[in-house]
Amino acid sequence: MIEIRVEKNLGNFSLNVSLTLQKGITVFFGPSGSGKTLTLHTVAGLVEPDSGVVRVNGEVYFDKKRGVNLPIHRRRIGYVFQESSLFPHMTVFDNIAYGISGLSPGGKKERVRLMIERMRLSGLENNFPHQISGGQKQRTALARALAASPLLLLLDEPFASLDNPVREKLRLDLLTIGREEHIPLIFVTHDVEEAFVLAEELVVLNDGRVEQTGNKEDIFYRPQTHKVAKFFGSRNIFLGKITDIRPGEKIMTLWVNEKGLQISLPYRKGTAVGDPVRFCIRPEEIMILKEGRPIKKSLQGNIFTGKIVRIVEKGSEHTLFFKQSQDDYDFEISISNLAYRSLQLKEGQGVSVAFKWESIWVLSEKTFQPGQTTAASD
Amino acid sequence: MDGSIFIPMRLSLQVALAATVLVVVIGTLMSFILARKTFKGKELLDILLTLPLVLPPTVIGYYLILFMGRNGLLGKYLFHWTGWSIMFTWYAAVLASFIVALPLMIKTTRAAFESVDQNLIKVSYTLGHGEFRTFFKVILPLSKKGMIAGAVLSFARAMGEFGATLMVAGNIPGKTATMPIAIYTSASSGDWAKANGMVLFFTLVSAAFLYIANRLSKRGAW
Repeated sequence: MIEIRVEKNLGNFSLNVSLTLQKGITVFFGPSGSGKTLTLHTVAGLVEPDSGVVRVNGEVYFDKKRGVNLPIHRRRIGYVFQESSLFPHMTVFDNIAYGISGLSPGGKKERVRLMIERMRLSGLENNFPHQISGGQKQRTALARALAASPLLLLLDEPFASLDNPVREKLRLDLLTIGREEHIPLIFVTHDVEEAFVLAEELVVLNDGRVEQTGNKEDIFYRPQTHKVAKFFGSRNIFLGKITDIRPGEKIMTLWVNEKGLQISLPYRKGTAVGDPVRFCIRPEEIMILKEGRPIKKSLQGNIFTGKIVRIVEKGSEHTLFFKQSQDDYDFEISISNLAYRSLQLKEGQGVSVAFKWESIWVLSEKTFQPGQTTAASD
Repeated sequence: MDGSIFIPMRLSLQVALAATVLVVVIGTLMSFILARKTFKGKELLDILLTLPLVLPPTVIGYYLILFMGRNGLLGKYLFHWTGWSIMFTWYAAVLASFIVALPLMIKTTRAAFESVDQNLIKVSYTLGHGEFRTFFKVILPLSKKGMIAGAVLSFARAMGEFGATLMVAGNIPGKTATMPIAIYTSASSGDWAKANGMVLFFTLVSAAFLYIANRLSKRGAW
């Protein structure tokens, strides 16, 4: 188990995080400058926190109050950097062997061979780093870190400078490692897809603070804050005001002033007319209704008629901008290419859209002032 | 060619080689301290070690007399305990050459140490190697080129050392009269034939050394 409770002030930036991590892959996700790397550095000992505690498997690495600050080379932490940081004067074999200690020369060789095989580096043993590809370099860096039998492996955007196919392969390698090695892995990224492929646990950082921790489902479907909802693609985030509550029907109605939208939500206890509510709907949760088809009951209450103002192709899907009010656009909708083709949509076309109650997620944060009812769709 | 040319040549090489060995060992240590450590008075140490680069050799020689002379600050203890003084021995020539060549070694070696990718050093730490082993296994091998260049420059400077050497080692033929001093003596006494021979020979030997050094530092590259 890893305990990280650190504070660090760097003048224009301050880090203040408190985390407890278990085995498996934990992904630190956040925009650049959110403190992901700084947090890793405090764990590895590359940066000394101003205050706090870092503990790995019960051993104290850092404790300001007790004056403990274990030097980096005694922490047994593997660290893989973004840029390949292989020793340029050593072969792949020597790089991997570099951190192995406490083994006989024969045992050392055996361990290197094992790592070379596991990381698909056979045949490259005697190559120097400048003679191998970017993906091979990062695999060597991974092998080198693992060969030293670390208690914890830190990966700081290790695949960021690689091409997509190579990156995807390396992610799978890392998943295998995560399963086989019984150590915690912390993986830093600002790539949503990467975060989702790898994470068993997600930590969302923003501006030096932890916004939310949880599993993928929590972060994706149940964001706790506006920022988390935004980072993970809940494109439709609104701030509205409750205009009507019908507890008997378990419905409350929300008025999003500027948009002129009226939305129904499941009733929540403790809410009153006039309360501000921030909520979001993921773009892929909004359906486009086919004309003439009967409308399911679950959709009733949240059906909107307007037109498609813009269509943007995004590879495997299309993003549609739907407008009902006078605004720029009201909803961002994602549909698969298959659905897009079958609907034969065009810009300017009139359509009806709908979403289920369950798709509406009310953000629990209370960062806004009551009475402030301007819509926020960013 | 007159055999007497070879004696000052041999002496020059001997002094320059001994000075270079000292320069490489002490210069590497000093460069490491200046490149990787922070401490009070670092700036002062840096200035002190660079000063011989800009001071006239006579000033260096004068300081050496002040410190190492029979009545000098350190020299008097040395003389008191051993009855020996470094002045007017070939060791004094080595010392003078060492002092004037040291800044050249430190400048190039420090720059080489500082240009080693910081991430490589961090990686070495995370792989369980402390500062000492990281220095020998990562920093030193990656600075090879700069160090060879520094050593070559130092050797060249030591070979050409004249002023400070003359002041502390004198001009004793066969004992302290290195090639530059012997050339000066020949020229000032009007022995042009000998001076010509020595100048030509010295130039050829120096050029040969530079050639070898260039080859060495190219091989140090990867």
